[in-house]
Amino acid sequence: MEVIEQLKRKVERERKARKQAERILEEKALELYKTNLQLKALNERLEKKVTERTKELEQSEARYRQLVETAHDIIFKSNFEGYFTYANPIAEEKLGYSTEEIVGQHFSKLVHENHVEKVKGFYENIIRSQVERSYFEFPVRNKSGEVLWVGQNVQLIFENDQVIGFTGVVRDITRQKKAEQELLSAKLRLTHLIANLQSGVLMQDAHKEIIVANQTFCKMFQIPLQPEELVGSNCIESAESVKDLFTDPECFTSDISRLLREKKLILGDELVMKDGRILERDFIPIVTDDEYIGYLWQYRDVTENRKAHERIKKSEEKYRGIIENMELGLLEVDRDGKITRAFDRFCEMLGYAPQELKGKEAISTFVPAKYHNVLKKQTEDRKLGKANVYEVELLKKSGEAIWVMLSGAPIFDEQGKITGSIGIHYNITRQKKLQQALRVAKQKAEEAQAAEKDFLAKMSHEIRTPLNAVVGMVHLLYETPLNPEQTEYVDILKSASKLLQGLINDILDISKINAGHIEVQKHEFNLLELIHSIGKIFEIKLDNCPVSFGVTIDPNITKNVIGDDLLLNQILVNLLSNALKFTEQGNVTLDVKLLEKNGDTLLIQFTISDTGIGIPEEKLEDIFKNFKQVDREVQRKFGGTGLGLAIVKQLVELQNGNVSVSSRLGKGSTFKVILPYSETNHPASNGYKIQSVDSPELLHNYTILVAEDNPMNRKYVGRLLEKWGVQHEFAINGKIAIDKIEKKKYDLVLMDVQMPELDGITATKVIREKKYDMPILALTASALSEQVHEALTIGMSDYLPKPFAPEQLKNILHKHLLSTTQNPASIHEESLQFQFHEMLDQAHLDAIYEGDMEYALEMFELFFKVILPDFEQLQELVKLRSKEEFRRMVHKLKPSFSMIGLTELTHDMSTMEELASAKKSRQVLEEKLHQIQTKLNEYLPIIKNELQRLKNNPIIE
Amino acid sequence: MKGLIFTEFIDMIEEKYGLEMADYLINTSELPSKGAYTAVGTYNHHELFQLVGHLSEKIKIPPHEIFREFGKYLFFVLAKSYQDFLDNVESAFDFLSAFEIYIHVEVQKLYPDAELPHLHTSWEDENTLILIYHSERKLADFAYGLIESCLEYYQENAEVRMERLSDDNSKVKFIIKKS
Repeated sequence: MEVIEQLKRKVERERKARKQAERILEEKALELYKTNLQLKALNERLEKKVTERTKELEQSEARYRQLVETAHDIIFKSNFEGYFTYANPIAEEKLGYSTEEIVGQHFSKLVHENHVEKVKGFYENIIRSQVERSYFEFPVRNKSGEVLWVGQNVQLIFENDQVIGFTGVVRDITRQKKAEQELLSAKLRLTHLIANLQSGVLMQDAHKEIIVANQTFCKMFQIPLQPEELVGSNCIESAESVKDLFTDPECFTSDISRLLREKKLILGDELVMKDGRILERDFIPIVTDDEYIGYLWQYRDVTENRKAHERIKKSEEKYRGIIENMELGLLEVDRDGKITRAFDRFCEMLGYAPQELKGKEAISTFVPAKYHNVLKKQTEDRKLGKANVYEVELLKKSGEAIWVMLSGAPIFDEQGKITGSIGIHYNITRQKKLQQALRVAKQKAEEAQAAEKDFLAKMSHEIRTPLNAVVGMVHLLYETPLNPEQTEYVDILKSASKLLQGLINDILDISKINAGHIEVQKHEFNLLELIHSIGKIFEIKLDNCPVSFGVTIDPNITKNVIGDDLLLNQILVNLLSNALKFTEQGNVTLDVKLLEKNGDTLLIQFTISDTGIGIPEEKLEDIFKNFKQVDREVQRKFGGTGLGLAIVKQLVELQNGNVSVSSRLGKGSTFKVILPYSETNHPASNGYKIQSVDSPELLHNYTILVAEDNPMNRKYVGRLLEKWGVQHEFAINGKIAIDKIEKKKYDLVLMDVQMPELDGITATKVIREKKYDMPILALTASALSEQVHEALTIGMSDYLPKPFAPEQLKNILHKHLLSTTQNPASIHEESLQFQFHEMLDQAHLDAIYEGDMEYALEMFELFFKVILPDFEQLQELVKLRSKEEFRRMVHKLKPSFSMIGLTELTHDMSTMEELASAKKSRQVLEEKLHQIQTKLNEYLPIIKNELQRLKNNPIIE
Repeated sequence: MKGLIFTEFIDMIEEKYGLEMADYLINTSELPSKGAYTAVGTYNHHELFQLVGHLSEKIKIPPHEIFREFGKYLFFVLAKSYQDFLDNVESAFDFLSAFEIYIHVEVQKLYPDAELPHLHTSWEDENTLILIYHSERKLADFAYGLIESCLEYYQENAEVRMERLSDDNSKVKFIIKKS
């Protein structure tokens, strides 16, 4: 029964469940039906939508296409392998490739070669990670190879979830890149600069946030951070954290706040730190467009500077103290000249108390009015920072003036600004007085010296003139018939007067030397000729003596030398006279030797040897001293003043030379003189210009004018000339001499230097100015006189020292008269002279070559080698547009023609140069050139012939 | 809870304990459905817990063992109905590994209102599969039985051990080790 109930219940449950299931299924079916309907409707709508959307898409694609085509950026499409399938027209503009050239191209062909791998990697990466959109930058090359930087937006193109290609928008970012790089490098530079600054630098923005700081800053403030770590923190907080480093921490922070509030540029604030350091701070607001964008703080550690300043200040005080103790008065004034400090010594110097001077204006207080301008100028100098030393008078309080030497210098403060000046005063009143006295004394001495000189000059003339007459008359006496007794008297008279003559010459010479009146007059002279003429004189003197005389000259002396020939003459004459005096038999020799040659400088040794009595060894030292002779016996026996050798020594030393002696008693003496000379390039002719005077009759045909004021001398000279058959006339002063010369032709003039009315020097000048060129011989008192030099300089031909012997006059007349005429004696020399062709400018050639035919040959050769080829160039140069080159060449060649005697062509060339300078036409210049060329062609055979003759000339060897 | 669970549970009771027991359990439990279950319907899972609870009292077997037993039973019922799903897979391990992403996905398609447990599998080593069961239904023992039958179905030589990860059985870990 129970089972039946259970089954019934089960069936009931089953029935309910079935109903339930059926209901559910019914609902589901209905739902399915509805869904089906909806699907159908949806499907219809979808179809419509697809049509619409397709249309929309087409429109939008057209729109996009237009957009793409006209975009400013390159837009491209490429397939998966990286070959371009599309590029818009802008690509052509940017890259230079046409779109046709780009399509089909692989992207790597455009990418800069160094970046291809990177770009490939990029594409691989976005494909791998399926990054739909991405951006990257890289450089490309355009068709002409230029590099452009581009930024590229790439989008992947998918098909069925597979990447099949890319589209990209490429923008030219070359300019941005460049700017970025520049910015970066500027930033780097600045960062580097700031980091390496010796100053601590901190920069903050307007919000008090730190932007930049450097290592020095952190170190200065003992901040245990790297400068980068400070960036971003608040500067006020940072200030708070370091304020305890300062002696006044609150002041430090409040200062910073105040500066930031006021926003004003403040430089050089000084901050003292507890550890003794001193910092200098600059606060620099940074303004752009009237807006404060930040502030720069710069700190410098100036501790060492300050310490140094302190030390300097202390040491300054120390030195001031020292100076004060050195009798130097110190005074400090401000920029306006007001006294800021008067040191004790200065006050004492002027008799003021320090408080009396402080605050007063220095100039008005104790500077005399006449120095006000000097002082004002000094004040100006001080302001410019100049220091000076000068002398000035100052007034003491008592009114008494003192001289001071004042050393003034500007005073600088610690910042280097001039705050005033300091003067160091040294009382030089005594020195000034002494100086004054010295000046007076010097003036007196100079006057006295001038008087002495004048006296000597006068004495020289006054003594010699009558003496000359005496000597002259003695010579004339010999010409008169004399009995033996008279002859003996005249002999004595002759030797006595000669002795007197020598004595006077020596005394006058030595006094001149001692008075410093002798000056070395250097000029070119022929040493060989001088030696020969001296030799000749002594040969004549030694005629009929048992003493032989010889001269030897070093053959290496070949050129003229520069030096004082008059002094040399005097030295050699003195030494030779001396040698002759002490030599009774045997020989006297003069040897001239080139000792040393160093560049242009020659050392020449003159050796005078004799076989005379010699000098005892113990006396050798003394013989060059004034008035010293070997002994009394010698003096008695040989006479003389004992001045000869002293004069020699002084004259030698005056010319930086050296004289020495060696001697053996009874055997003879040797004097050696070594003198320096400069060598010239002019060969010294070796010929004897002085002819042996055996034929006075040669002088018969000449007329001589003798200008001499002294009647006795006139008589002496007149008598001699008469004896030699020379026609002569007299003039008693320079003026008459000139008159006479103007009226009549004279072959030679003997001119006394000192004459009344018009002296010989002035007269000669006038004569030379009037272009008279006859020889004028000076008759002078002494060979040492400055007059000789003057005479030769102004145009006199030679000189004859008074008194003179007849032979001397005869020689000099021969020398000047016979050498210039067709005298048989000179024909030989004449014939050796080269005679240029008469078609050439002989006078000019003679003048320039002066017989130096080697020189002439050189010039003629040069003409053919260099000048002619250059001249031919003119034919080309004249064709050039610019005439400057042509003109320059003409100018260069112009003088060469006169060097070969074609003076006329030189003038023609000058004319042509002027034409070229005036920019005359080519035609004009060519015409002139042609004319010159024609003339030159005519001359060329002659010039060639002359060149051959010069080469064959025997003189040139 | 899908009606299939209930119909199969009642079938199992009738089969193992007779119609009387099934009738008894339905009458004793307060079931809103009055025990009229159809496989295509959906019922509150508390009904299953009541039925199991009363069965446990009656036959003196703890409910978890009943759930495990039911799991074992149900697997073979399902295996018959859904043979294709099982034949596509070669081993129990593959089947269990793919369960969440394979079976559950398909179930969800058919029954959008089905509330399914979360299963997470991972290999501890090459022989040990870890399966984490997580469900508010707290039917871990039911799952235990299903796994055991699965291993049996594929004739796997493997052991399965259950570790509780929460007190209420909402989260447990099954360690399935090949032996």
